[in-house]
Amino acid sequence: MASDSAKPPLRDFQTWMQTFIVSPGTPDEALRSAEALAGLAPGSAERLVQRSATLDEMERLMIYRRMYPLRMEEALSIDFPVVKKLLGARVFGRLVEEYVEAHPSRSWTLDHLGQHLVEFVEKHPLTEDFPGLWDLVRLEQALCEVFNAEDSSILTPAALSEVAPEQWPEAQFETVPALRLLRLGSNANDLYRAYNRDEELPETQLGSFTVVAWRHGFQTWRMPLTSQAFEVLSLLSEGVCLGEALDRALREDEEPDQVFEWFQSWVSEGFFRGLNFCPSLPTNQPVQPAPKV
Amino acid sequence: MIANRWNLPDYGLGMGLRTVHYEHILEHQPKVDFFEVISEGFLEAQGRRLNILEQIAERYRILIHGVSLSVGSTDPLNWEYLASLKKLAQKLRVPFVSDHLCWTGVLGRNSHDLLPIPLTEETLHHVAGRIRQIQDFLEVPLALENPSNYIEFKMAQMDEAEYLTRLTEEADCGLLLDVNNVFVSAFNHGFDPDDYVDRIPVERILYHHVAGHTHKGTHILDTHSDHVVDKVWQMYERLHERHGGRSTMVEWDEEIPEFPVVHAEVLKAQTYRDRAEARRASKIEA
Repeated sequence: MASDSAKPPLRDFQTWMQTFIVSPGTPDEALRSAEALAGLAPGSAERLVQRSATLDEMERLMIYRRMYPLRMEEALSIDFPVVKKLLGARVFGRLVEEYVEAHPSRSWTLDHLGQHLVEFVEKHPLTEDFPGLWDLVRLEQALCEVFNAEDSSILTPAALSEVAPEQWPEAQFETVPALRLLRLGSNANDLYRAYNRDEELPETQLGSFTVVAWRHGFQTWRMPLTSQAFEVLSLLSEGVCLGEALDRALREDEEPDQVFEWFQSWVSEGFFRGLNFCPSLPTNQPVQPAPKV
Repeated sequence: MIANRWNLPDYGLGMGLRTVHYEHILEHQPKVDFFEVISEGFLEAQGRRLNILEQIAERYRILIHGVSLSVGSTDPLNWEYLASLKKLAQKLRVPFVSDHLCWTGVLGRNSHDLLPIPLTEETLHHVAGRIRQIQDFLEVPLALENPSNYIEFKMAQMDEAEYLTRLTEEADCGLLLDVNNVFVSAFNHGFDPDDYVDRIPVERILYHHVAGHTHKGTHILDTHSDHVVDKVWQMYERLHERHGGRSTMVEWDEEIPEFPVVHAEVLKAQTYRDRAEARRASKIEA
């Protein structure tokens, strides 16, 4: 039942205006949706909106309706610049429109607007024309998460030097919150690198690619990993002890020196924030992380 | 100076803290009385964003300005948001918190736009009640900003100047008078901007914004993308002559130029303050 058509309650008015602004389709379709949802009779724009000297009722409403998708697109362009480059502005705009219809912002910040884009794109028809799209969305979303992840202390090489050689197999590492491991089905990282260097995006190549994204020194970083290094790091991030992780992930011909180099790199890049020892050893004392730098 | 309701001082001339200027500010430490940050950008800040804020807060006064309070919405107040806001306000020791007279969403959504409130008795009491709850919770005054508007509603029972006068009284809150927004809305709605600023109760004004805008011919958009126009500066001077000094910030959020360009715009405000001061002094002598 329609409420007082000239002066609806504030709740109905707000439902009407918001629905008109955010609904897909033509302005007329959006207005009909707005009237239906707010319980207002047809002709609501003329009844509620004051014309100005230069704009009629719908033109005034349209200022708000036009700004909404631009604002959403701007926010997602910041978080997914390479996806936008890959798709082109027009296709990206259409994707954003569909996406925010399915996952509108419910947060006080636009920082989380893209948090459902990975699941949204996974089965989207665009992935047929752009087979690397889903991986690229995953990579850029991971970088956003890394950027916004909580700060933490990091484990320093000095703290690690206190670990006795016999304790190493039982070492259990805790990764920092600002670290993501990605097993990708295409060369999304190459596209990202090319974009950062202001180069043309390379062709998408399908295959197995493993990447780590992390934050260090207030900057986000990406690095491709060998499949073995990725496997070890994944197991460690799940809390598997180092000895078991190496047994499960490495081939017999893997050089111990190489493992040592990985660790040097991972520790110096601040991948870990804590170290414990698996319960089988008597020396189950945590090593205190160094203060945050 | 005509005191404001809270006897808060004039914090001088400030500018928005924007990412593109971080390095310049940290390297050159320019003479700026305060920086304003958008609250929502720092409620969950970690990593570089938090580090930059902490470094700048060590050297400068910080004021916070929000865009998601949604004080006019009929959705319940978001207490989780308010708790984060209070934490940030306390951390930065701000003298007041500011946001807009608007609603940003309903039914749980956030349009991230500053949507207009019909200027009726119903909305005035609704908004005033929410402001009182917010101020009680935050334990600092709330300064509400007059938003730039592109639409008016036939159900309106008063104009914006009257609405703000009554609202600030009923809610006992402050006012962030954005002089450019008065100019923008005046053009879009066809009212006299000088009459508007003359009617605003200056004892409620805690803070001013000035900014540039984009003229589209049929209407003006509040884009914060250019220099402040002369008429807005004249209105600012007119206000200064009435109150004698309020913290003032220049907004520049689109097509942001190099730091010195924005800084020069900030310093320009002093010229208008000086002229207004001279006139105030001559009136007192007379």
